[in-house]
Parts: sequence; structure tokens; C-alpha cells
Amino acid sequence: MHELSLADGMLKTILDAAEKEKAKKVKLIKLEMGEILLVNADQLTFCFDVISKDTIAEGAKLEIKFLKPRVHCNKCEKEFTISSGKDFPILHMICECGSNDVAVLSGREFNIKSIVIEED
Amino acid sequence: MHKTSNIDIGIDIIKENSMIANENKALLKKYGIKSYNVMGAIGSGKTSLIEIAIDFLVKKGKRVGVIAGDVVAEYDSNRFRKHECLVIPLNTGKECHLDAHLVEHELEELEERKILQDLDYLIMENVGNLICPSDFTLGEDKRIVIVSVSEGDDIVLKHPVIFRFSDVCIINKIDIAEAVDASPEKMKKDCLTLNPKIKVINTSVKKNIGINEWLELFE
Repeated sequence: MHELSLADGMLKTILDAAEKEKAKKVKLIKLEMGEILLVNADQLTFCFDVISKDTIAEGAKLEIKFLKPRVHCNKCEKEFTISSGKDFPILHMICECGSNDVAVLSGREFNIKSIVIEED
Repeated sequence: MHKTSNIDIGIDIIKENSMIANENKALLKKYGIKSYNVMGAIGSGKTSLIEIAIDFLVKKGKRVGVIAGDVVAEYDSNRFRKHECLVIPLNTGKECHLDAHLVEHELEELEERKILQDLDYLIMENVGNLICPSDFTLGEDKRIVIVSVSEGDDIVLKHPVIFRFSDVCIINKIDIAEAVDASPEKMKKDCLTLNPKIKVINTSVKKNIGINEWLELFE
């Protein structure tokens, strides 16, 4: 539901960076998104397409890389990655030792990594 | 052919929010203000429980500020104005959550007007929503999620993130659990499965159940 505000923040960041480089067009946006974040990638892409109209980022392709969460078990001190397939990772935060007392180290990123621009 | 080039950006919007939240936290700490982010669905009882907390704190001589975050904030603000507290309406407009940036603006203005300095407590009532507020911290000391049994006893597992990242869960309207066929025990168990550190309190505003425990959070 907050895809629009994230798309808006993303557009502003990208336009700032692109203008500094005197870009004519933004062709590609590389985004890293943590799997715990409650953001729907399709809705984000749709929102971005709509709000980027009539800017130099119109028509830019959004390439999203999903990042699996890393957690630390507070009982056995093991650090591991949650691979939950299609399931939501939060439902699988249990260590091999059986403990669910785990600290979440990462998995909530919304990192605008880089863009590919077209120059004159 | 146009020349294309790759530009590194490396800006994380969620991390940026957390950085502003940390600044909010530092500012509140500077003036010794305890802060609470109260989240939960529409109609779960957030406003009613906050009203009780305000009266309790005022009776103890504490000065309380309440941020009423809503798409249209005037309704809850009017309820809070009936109590002895500073009411800060925060219209979120199209946004479905409070974020650290919105709160930062309010705090800066209150500091400039020399009002913030006088507060002992800041309670931030988030927009009624179990999804979006989970991705944004505000700089609070305690994250509280309020649910009511009328939302169904599978509500916790349906919205795992907000329970995973909260310090306290209030299960409200406990008096009507049987009537709506909900098991508060299941709700509590689900909370603890997701987050073994969460404190779970059963309350009923109507029947005055668990209110002392609720108020202990503000000691």
C-alpha cells in the first residue's frame, strides 16, 4: 500500500542523480529489495511507470533483485540466511537448534543501487 | 548512437527513514521524553486506550503530547482535545502510515516554539493499518500493536511483520471474544511464535480488564 510513496522517493532520487550527470534519459534502474519488506514489486513498477511519465525516467526498466534476510540466533549464536521459497520469510524464522529467538540483521532494504543513463 | 553509462547511487529509502528516526529518538531523549508508536487496525481501540493513558499520566502530573496520524486527523484530534494534553494533528493525506520524516517536521516545529521541551511523554497514534506502518520506524522507545478479537483470531498470522517487529501486543475487546468466536489464547500463542520477546496484554476498555497492565507500559 505504500508502493506509491516509495516509488515517489525513488523517482526523486533518480532524477537528482540523473540531472547531476546531465542525462538525457534514464534507461534502467537497479533496485535491491529485502524480502521482509511489505512491498509488492508489480505494484511498485506500476506506480513508478505512472509517476515517471513526462520525466527523463519515463519508460525506464526496473530491475529488482530480492535480498534474502540474514538472522542471528540468540540461543546458539548461529548466523544464517532465511530461504523460504514462495513463503513469507517471517513465518520461517526458526533456527536449526529449534529456537525462534532470532535477531533480524537484514532483509528490509530498499536500495536504489544504480541507474543506466543515456547521455547526449 | 547515444552514449550510455552506469551511475552508482546506493541510496536506501528505508535506511534513510531509519536515520531520520534515530535523529528523532536523539531529540526526544535530549528532553527526556518517552515515546510510543501505537499501531493497529481501524477500530481496534487505539484512540480509546490512548485516552485512558493520557488521563493516567496527567493525574500523575506528567505532560503528554499526542500525534494523531490519520488520512484526516481532525476526528481523533477532537477526541484527544477533551483531555489535558497537547494534540498534534498529522494529516497523512494519501499516505497509509506515519514516517520518520513527517514526525521530524512536527518535532522541529514544537522545539522551535519551545513546546517540546516541556513534554514528558509523546504518544504517536499511527494510521489504522497493520501493513504499512511495519516498514517505518519513527524514533519511538516502544512499538505497540493493538488488535481486537473482532478482527478474527487469525489476524496475527495474517500480518506477521508488524507483530514480529513490535515490543508489545494488546489484544483488545477481550470481553466479546466468545461472541465473535475468537480465541485470545491462540492470538497470544501466534504472537509469541513469531516474536518470543513480545509482551502480550489482554484488555477490554468497556469492562475495564487489563487496564492496569496497559498503564504499566507508561510507568
